[in-house]
Amino acid sequence: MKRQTNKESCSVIWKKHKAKYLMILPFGLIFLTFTFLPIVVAMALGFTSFDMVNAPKFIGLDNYIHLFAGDDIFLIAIKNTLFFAVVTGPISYMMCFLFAWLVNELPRIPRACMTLVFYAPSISGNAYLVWKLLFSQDSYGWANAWLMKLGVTTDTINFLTNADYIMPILIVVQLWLSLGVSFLTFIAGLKNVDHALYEAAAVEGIKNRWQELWFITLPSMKPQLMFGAVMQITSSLSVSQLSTDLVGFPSVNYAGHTILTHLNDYGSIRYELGYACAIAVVLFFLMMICNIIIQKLLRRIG
Amino acid sequence: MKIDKINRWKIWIPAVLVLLVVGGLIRSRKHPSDVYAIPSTQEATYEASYKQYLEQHSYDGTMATTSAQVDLQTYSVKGNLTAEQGVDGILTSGQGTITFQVSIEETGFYNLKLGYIALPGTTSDIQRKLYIDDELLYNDLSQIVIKRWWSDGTIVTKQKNEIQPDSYEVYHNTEWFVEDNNVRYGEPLKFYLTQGMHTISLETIKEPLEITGLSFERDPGALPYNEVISTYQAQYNVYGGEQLIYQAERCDDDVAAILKSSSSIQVQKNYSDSNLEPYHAYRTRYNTIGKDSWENPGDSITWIITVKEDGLYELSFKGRQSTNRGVTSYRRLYINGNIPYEEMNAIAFEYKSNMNHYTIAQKDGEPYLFYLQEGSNTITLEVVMGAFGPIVSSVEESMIRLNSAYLKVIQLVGQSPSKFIDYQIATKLPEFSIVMKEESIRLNQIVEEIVRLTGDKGENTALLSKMAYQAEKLGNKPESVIKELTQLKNNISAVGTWLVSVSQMPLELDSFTLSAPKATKSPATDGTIASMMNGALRFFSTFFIRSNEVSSEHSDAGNTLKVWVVSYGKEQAQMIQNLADNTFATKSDIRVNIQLIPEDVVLKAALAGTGPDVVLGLKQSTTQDFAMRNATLDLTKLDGYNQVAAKYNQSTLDSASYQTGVYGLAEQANFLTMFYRNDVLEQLGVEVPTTWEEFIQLIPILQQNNYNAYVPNAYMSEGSGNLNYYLSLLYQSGGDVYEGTGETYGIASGLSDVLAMDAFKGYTNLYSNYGLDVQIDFANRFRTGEVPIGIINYTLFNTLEVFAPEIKGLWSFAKVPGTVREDGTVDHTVVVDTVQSVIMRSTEVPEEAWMFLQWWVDVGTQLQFGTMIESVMGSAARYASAIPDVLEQLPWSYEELEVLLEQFDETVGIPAVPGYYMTNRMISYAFSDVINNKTNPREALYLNIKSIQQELDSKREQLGLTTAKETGGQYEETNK
Repeated sequence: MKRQTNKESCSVIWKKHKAKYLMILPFGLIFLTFTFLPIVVAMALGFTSFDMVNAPKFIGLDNYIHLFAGDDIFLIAIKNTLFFAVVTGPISYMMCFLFAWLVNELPRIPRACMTLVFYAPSISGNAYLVWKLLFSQDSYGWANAWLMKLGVTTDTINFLTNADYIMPILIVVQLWLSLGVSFLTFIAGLKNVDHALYEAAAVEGIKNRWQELWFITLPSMKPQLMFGAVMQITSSLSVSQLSTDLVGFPSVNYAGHTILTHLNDYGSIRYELGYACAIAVVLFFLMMICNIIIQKLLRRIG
Repeated sequence: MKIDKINRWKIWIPAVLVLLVVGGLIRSRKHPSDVYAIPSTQEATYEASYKQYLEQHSYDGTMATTSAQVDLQTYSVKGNLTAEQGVDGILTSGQGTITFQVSIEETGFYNLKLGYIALPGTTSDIQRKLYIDDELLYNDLSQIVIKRWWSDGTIVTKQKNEIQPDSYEVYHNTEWFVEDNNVRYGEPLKFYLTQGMHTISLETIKEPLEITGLSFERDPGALPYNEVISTYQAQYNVYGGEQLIYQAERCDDDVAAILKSSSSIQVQKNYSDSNLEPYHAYRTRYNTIGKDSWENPGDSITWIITVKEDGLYELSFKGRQSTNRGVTSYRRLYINGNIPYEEMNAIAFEYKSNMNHYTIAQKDGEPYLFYLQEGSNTITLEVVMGAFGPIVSSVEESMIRLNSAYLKVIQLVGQSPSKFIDYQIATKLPEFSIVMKEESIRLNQIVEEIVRLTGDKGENTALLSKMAYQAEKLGNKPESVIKELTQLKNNISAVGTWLVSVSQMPLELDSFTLSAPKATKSPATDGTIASMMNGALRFFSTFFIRSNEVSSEHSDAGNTLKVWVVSYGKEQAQMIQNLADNTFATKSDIRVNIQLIPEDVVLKAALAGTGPDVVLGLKQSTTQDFAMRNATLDLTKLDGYNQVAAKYNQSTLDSASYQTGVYGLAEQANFLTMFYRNDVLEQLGVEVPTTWEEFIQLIPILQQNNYNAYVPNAYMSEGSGNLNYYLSLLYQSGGDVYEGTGETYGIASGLSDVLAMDAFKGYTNLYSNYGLDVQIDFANRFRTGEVPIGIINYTLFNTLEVFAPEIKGLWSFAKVPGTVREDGTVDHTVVVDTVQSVIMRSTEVPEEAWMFLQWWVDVGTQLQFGTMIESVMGSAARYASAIPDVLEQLPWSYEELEVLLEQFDETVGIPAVPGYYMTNRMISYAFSDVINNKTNPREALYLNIKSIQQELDSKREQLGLTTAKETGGQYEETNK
């Protein structure tokens, strides 16, 4: 009897919302095949030993045990990634908002120009490779040449191959790059705030612009803040291309090794796909947890 | 709102259309009615030693009137040269010198006429050094370039597209007055000979040659047009009939043959203009010849054409020089083998972005008339430097002086001088300011001259002006050079780059026309409408034509072999396809389908069951990864493997081997050699080092003079690093990267051995104790001379040869320094790095795949491939073949080849070892530890060996091999 109602309700729902389901179908199919299915497969492969040539072999939890108990380098990678994310995530998130807020105050044409200027680094693809030139080890590399010219150092500094410098350089470059999608979203969000609210607030006794920001602006653009936060977390936790391009793969003494480069190491160099999948699963849950925390935090705004 | 939008569209669409039409009209207005190729006169600027030679013998323009034939029978031979009497002359081959006697009757200046026939060799020009009475009279004689003759096969059409024809060599007797190899003087070289007996010797640099005649005589030259035209006009009728149009790129009824002086002069497909003949908007049609493949001085194209009647004709070439902006291309015209008029020595073809009829005419537009006989005639255009010859010569001289001034400063103040020290440049280097002032004046004059010639002051002269400006400033204030050292260096090398680009004189020809004087020709470019139609057609065709398809035919027949090419470009893939179609498919009845695929896709595709049968161009490390995981076939188990393997060095086979099998055959092999600057070492009075002791002794000498040496660092991320360098040192000292033999090779790391520790210490000492720079751009500093010696892969040769003309002849390469063995011999071993071809295990047609692979690594095929690459892409793309027999036939000079083959013999290949990547990684980490933290080298290396061993063990366990632990302690010590 219960089954019957269920079935009925299903068909009722279908009849009622047929058009909507049909409209979501193309994307749904693509999402299922290329995002959802791979995640499931990766989770399954995480329990196997697989080298891409021979058939996967089931080994239970061995990958995870090794990952947390036997893999020193994974711990380095986690440390690096979290440090990187903790430093760049909030700073760049705040920078995005701060710049968006400032830019939003400008008249139309300067605003468009400044938006382009701030957004340029992140749309110009691999433009961050200029940093490689800047920090080149050659005594003709810009940073080295200037430091020597100014008499700060007498010998070249191996910026990109000295473990001590790698992480700071990566962080600086990431911050330079970080005024990306979130920045644009924030600008859009700021423009969408209903001006009537400000007037009403002024009448109600808002004293200064900080109160205005905290009580009106931020709550009004919560969806954008949310979106920006998710993007920021994903991008700072999954940084790898930047590290590979700037300091090489693998970087000296694993100083620029992140979870994702660790995954690449196992996936493409060591041919241990099962293990790489296990890493991916860990990264997946790490991002989920971070997202939940951020969502909780953002709810407290305003 | 909506209406507004629609209205806006209504305005926009016509606006865009109007813009298009106006743009088109402007373009079509550029239809040039008359473009003239006007002859230019030149005063030869001689190179310093030649000038001195002429002055020494007080040359005043008069030449000896008699001629002296060299008796070819009087030859004597030195070195490894073999000479024998052939049908037409003396056949010479091998490296050495051949000497002839000649008796001169009259003291005076002579030109030298050489009669020769090329002998089968490589695609390279023939090169000789010329000595008179065992003396190299002046620098131009150290490289005499003698041209071979080539012809294209017929252009065939396959699947509606034309296929680029192959070039084949044509052998015929050629007589030629010896000229400088850059063709800058515009006249043959002169020799001063006194009455009596003399010897003339030719020393081989490259290629065999048959000498059919040698004589000292005056080049008769040609008379000015005005002096001879009246006699011609009296004798022959001026042609008045229809225009005769000859295709420049293909033979047909009117063009009997096309001869090229280099196999790299290629026919081109040009889609830019529908008035080209033949033309198709999207199918491949070869419709022009030359372009940037016909730009090097001395290269010529000869057309053998049929003319219906005797007469005096106007000659015009339809083409363009659209490649080198601000440069006028010069050509010398020969008709029936002779320069018809003195003016034809250098004809200017101006820069034009569109096709034009370049009519050979005087300044006022009056065309020159040329006599052509009824029947067969030849027309030749040869690249000469024309009015740019003297300019290039003086800029080159200027650059050499500036560079040596720069080096002297470097020697005084070092590469990074302190601005707080007074170096007293004005007193210590008094000539510095003089050189700067003089060169500034000279360069400014040259700029004026260029502007006068091309009427264009732009990017072309900017580099020279910049240099002149800086030189002037430094001339007035020499002390400021300390601050501007980098800028000075950059400016000098920019002038070097300028020289390379200006010495190239490209020209693209579609056809040429013989006609009555001032006949109106059909438009050279199409109109606006036609041009827009073609643009549209070409654009829409991109939706239907699969231009990334390399294979010309595709069928689903069972006998099709799927071959993936991974590390080559599209052009190379196309060449492989052509080679396979023409030679392999016809012989074996197996069709080959070549596809260009990124390397990382191969394994994924194989996993999905859509993988290839054969993969070409696979990196060594990937080959090894595949081998270990049984993804490729063990070739030793296949029939005929031993014959194939016999032509390889053991090292290249080793580099594709795993356990007992060999899983790939090498295409390319690269290894380290030592590059050095002859001039700098000579000036310091030191020998080229052959052992490490000598190399290390050299370093302080270099550094005292503010030079330095270069060895590659061990960073994985940096371009100038090369991990094979340390491994080579290790092998030289008698160690090995891994322990174990046969199946157990790689069971334990060999780096814990005391030999490995010592080698590592010696390596890092070069940086920490001897002060070498860890990271430099070697090629650039080698050019300037700051780092006159360095160890780097031999393929740098190609780059330097093409892009560093300013140091041409001033550098060589040799085997890397070696370690002296106990018996006194020297071990020069280096590690080889290869590119491999493999057969995938998933193939369903292993026999066919094996046949294909055998054909592919065949000496003939590889040689043809290497030759094709070089002829299409120039000598900067010389093929680093892994087969010594092929290497031998590529256009290396005898001396270079000797070094290469000897070094190649002394290479080792490191077989596949599971977990191998950890070795490189840990060496790199240990290296950085020593460099950055000044850790003790032994300690740094030792601490990292544990990680290597862990990875070796874990990988061996995964692959089911015995690990070090299981051998009962034999390899345990490294595991502590």
